Amino acid sequence: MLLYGAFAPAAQTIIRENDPISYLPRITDQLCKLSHDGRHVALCVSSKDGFEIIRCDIEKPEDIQTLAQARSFAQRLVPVYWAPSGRFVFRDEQHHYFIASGANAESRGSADLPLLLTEKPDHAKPPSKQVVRFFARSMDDPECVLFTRTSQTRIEQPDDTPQTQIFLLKADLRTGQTTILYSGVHEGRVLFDRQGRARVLQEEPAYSATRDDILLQQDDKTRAISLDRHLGKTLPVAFRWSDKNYFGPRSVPLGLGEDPEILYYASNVGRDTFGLYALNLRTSARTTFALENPTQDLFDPTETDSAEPVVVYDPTKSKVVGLRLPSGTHWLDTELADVQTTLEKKLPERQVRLLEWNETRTRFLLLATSMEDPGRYYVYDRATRHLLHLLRVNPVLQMDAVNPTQTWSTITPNGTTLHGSLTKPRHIARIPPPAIVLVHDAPWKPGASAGYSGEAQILARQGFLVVQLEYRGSRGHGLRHLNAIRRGFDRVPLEDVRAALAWLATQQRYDTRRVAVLGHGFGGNLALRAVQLYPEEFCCAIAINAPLNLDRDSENPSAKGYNAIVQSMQQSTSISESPIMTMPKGDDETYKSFLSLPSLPMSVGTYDFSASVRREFYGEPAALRISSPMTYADKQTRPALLIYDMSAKAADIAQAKVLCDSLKRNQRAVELAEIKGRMKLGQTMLFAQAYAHIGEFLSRHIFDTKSENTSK
Amino acid sequence: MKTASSICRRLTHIALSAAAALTALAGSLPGAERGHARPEITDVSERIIELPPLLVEERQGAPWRYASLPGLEVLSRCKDDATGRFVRGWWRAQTMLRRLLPAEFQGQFDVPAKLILHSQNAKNAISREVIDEMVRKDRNTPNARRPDMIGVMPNLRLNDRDSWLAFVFLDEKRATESIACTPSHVRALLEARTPQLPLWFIAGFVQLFYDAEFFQMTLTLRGTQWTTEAHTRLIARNPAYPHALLPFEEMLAVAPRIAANNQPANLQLWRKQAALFIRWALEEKIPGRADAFWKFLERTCAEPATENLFREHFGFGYADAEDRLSDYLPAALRRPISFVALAADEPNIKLRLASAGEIARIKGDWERLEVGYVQIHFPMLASKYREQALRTLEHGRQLDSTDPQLLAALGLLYCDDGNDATALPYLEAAAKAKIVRPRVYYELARNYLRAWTAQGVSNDGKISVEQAARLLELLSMARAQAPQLPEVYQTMCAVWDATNAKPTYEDLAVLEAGARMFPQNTSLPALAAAFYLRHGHTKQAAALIDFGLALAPYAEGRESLVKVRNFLTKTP
Repeated sequence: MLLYGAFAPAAQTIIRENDPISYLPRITDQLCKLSHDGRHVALCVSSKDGFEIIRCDIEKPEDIQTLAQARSFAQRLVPVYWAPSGRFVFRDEQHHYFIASGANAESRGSADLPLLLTEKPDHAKPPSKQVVRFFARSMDDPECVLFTRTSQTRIEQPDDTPQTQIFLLKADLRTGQTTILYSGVHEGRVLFDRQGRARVLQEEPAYSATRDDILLQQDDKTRAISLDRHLGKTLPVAFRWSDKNYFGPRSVPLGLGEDPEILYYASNVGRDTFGLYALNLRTSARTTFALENPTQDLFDPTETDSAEPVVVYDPTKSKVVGLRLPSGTHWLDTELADVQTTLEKKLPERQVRLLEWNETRTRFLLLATSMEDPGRYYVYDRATRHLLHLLRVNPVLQMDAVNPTQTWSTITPNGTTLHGSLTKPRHIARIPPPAIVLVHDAPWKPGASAGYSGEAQILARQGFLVVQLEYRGSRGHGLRHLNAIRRGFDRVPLEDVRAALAWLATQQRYDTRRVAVLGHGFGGNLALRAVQLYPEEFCCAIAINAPLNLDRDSENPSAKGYNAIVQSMQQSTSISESPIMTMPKGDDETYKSFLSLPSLPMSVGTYDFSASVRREFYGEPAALRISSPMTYADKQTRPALLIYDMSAKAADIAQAKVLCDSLKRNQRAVELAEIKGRMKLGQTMLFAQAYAHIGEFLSRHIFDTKSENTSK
Repeated sequence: MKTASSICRRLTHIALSAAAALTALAGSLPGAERGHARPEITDVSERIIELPPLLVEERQGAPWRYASLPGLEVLSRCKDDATGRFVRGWWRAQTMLRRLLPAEFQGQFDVPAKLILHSQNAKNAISREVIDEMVRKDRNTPNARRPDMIGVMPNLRLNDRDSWLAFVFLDEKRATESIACTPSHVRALLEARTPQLPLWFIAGFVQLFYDAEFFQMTLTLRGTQWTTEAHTRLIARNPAYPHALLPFEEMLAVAPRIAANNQPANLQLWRKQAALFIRWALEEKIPGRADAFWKFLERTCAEPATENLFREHFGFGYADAEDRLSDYLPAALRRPISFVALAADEPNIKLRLASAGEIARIKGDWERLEVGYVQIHFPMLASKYREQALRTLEHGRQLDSTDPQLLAALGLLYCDDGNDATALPYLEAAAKAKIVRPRVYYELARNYLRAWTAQGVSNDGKISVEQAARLLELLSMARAQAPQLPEVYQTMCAVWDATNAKPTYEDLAVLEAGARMFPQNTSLPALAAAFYLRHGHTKQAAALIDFGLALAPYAEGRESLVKVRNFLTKTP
């Protein structure tokens, strides 16, 4: 049976308490801020006119003033910085930054407030994309703040090369004036020290798969030099990296300390897991600081775009006070460590993240998350030990409706230590309950122990025991665990899935005839392979945005052609000789793929580093084909649901249709649904549509006793 | 070296004097409020005062009507239909109250409550004399009030230690069956309950009744109000508005820290949050939660609330509870919840002409209680109310000198006045008639003990074994009736201390039972523990001390327990 479906995104969503979508988190930005003296907290709340930022007196919570309002309901406002004078910096979702005066707080629309900085393009120059980000408060003047601004020029002419200009700007909140502290043309990101000097460049060249971390020129007497070369053979830390060692041993600079010569970095060179270290740039020697865990990575190299820096700096004390780890924060400051311990006792079974504190460290803004709560913000008063309740990441979620979730770990027969989570349905509709394995996307994404999962909650609400696991190939548990998947991109993780179910059987009775698999991205591939390889153990599969042909990147002829073009362009001397005029005319698929590369066909664009990394990780296309669901489509007997949204590549959707046609020819149940929109945070209606479809599919193939899938 | 005996003697002395103080402390619970809140008035002379009614003129007006129902006597000067409507309404209100507050958590009274109803039309007229008295006494004071600033209360409820009475001026034309239970009535029922209920529950449950509506057989808790009106509006409009909550360990503490700090704002938060917690638990959204709450409450009457105990009943700990309460707050501010009571058996109200004796007994007992109230609030009028009460009761005694209830009221009037000698014969007569009135037996025992101890029958100043037996017999009579009175057990301790007779283990167990019934009265566990210790039961003594210290609400009461414990640790 073949079904096609398409869903259109709705304009506005009202989520009711009992709606399954109520389990999904709503916000990711930190929408609250503590004042310098700890007396006030600012937070973004919704009102009848839209979002607004309010300032609340912590000692008199009813004393509230509006600092700013946004006209449009969709325009969430994010507090950014609060100066001692009360001046308040915030931004909108487009990263336009504004100042409001806390002392004379009055309700003003965002259009009426002084615009501090914006990402609006500079019309004097060719169209460019500017990215403005708040960096830090100025060390010498708390009424000044630092921003980074990067602008990339778009390629217009064949002989144009992409330029990235990086600025460090100092904005005076009193006058609104900005001064340039630093400007430079680089390909990559720059790490600045606390004094605003550019110290390290993290290269991201447009045309090269190799990246380097460069120690930048500080004065006329020094020169920019690769960090590896600077450190020499005495300290081989491998800051130079490429698509080949992206998932291998390497080091990543994180940030500078209060001493600008101290560079904190993460490294897994010579070890299995990432540890955190510091080195002295002047002496080229490591310091005594080291933080390691033999089984857990203390750093996630794919999270470099995160807004929150790893190195936590306290401007009041002018020193580095901690380092953010995936599992929490390691405090170097003993006072903060004590507060952390106190709060972890006060809020047990939660991950507590100290976000901010006032200058006297009597009040703390914190975020507490758990396996059963996506997060709550509080202000903790150290003197009274009381909590002021602020925002919830999901304000609609009813705690009594949350399905209990626990972490688990086990050692599989092959000696692998597996971690995961288990969500049990609060209300069991069927005894024994069915089970579903939720398989995460891409082998190098973190897995189940990462915290609350709205998706697991939705599935548990439908009566499933939901098992998640960090199968071999997941990130966070070291190189051995990550690279083990290379021995079989389908069989290795599926061994772990089956081991997880074996563990579940020892803990909880479940209906072994009713086990489904749901996966995102690469996990979707695994879901399909599970029903193909083990049809007697898994009765149906759901794949969301699954790239059914992983070898597509490996043998991407457009990539080869692209490289050839680049090389020949670099060698050509005139436009007439540019191979851009003689594009290869391959088959339609190649041509379409060629067109889908960024900024083609009229410009060369940038190198697709992500694709290159994937190619290196996946290895030979032949090995991938063995693991691809497409290869075994005609042998599949179990039903499948494939869902794609607009983030999926056209090629993947095309492959999905091929799979569906194949299954249909063999009279196998298959459904394909396309969602008109991107299922990302905030698009709750799209998720609602997808999960409604999933629910119906599971009802038919799990709970329907007449269905062929439940017979053994 | 101090002996257990000397410790006991000292403790007994402390206990009897501390009993009153502790009772007063317990009575002045954080948030104790009488009647309805009134707006602040800065100019004293502009403040309207209302006096308790004083029915001097008996010859005029409609005849008194009387009815007796289970647990209630009614004396009414209103028309029968109006009286009937009121009583039925009152009956239903009690039924609705039981819907929300199970009977086992309400104080029980073996002495029937009494309702005195009078027509509202005669309100000021019948109390004219005392109003004029007040005006006259107030005239020469700096803040003399105008006569129109002095009135009579529309209704009043007064408590004795073992009973309660209420006086209501009824608008006969508009008398309905929609009667509400006031917060003060609820408080009195909660405070009379034994084992004693924890302070957080009493304060919180009473707070709920400021938002309560009674209609037919439905009790509705309106959307509650948080700490201020402004804050309430903000949170109700948007749940994201910040709001502070006390940690659960603080809210449920035996001795709330905020009570000790005595900061009004924090006390208010404590009350409101306790009310919110109770409302959340009883809202019946989650099956079994209300049952779990009542079981938890019962346990906290005998042991301090801990997170483990909480988790055992609710399935989650304090942090989760605080989060749930935070999530619940906005809904509680906006949304009323209703509790429908099953239709109560209609009371069989048979009104008849009241006998002179009944009038004298009930009215006189009411007037007796008025004296205590007036003594506190309008001391310049106390003598007038006392004269009236004596007049009424003496008149009744002349009509029937054998009515034990009237004799008891008369005896208690003299007791309240400190005139034990005059009270004695009346109390004896009432006790001889086996009256159901715990306080009679207690006052008799107290009287005898004081007298016999002063006489010092034997050379060592002790009372005889026979005297001790007599006293214990009287106190046992009091014990056998409701409500339980802590002073009964304290007097028992005093009796044992005043005699050479040795208590049996069962006798000591009675003292322990009393201690466990009144955990907020720290003198009782100290005394009972001291007696256990004196007679060689160190294990029981230690357990009782631990119990007392765990549940002692105030630091003052802990000292005696600590003394006994110190002695215990030194005892080999």
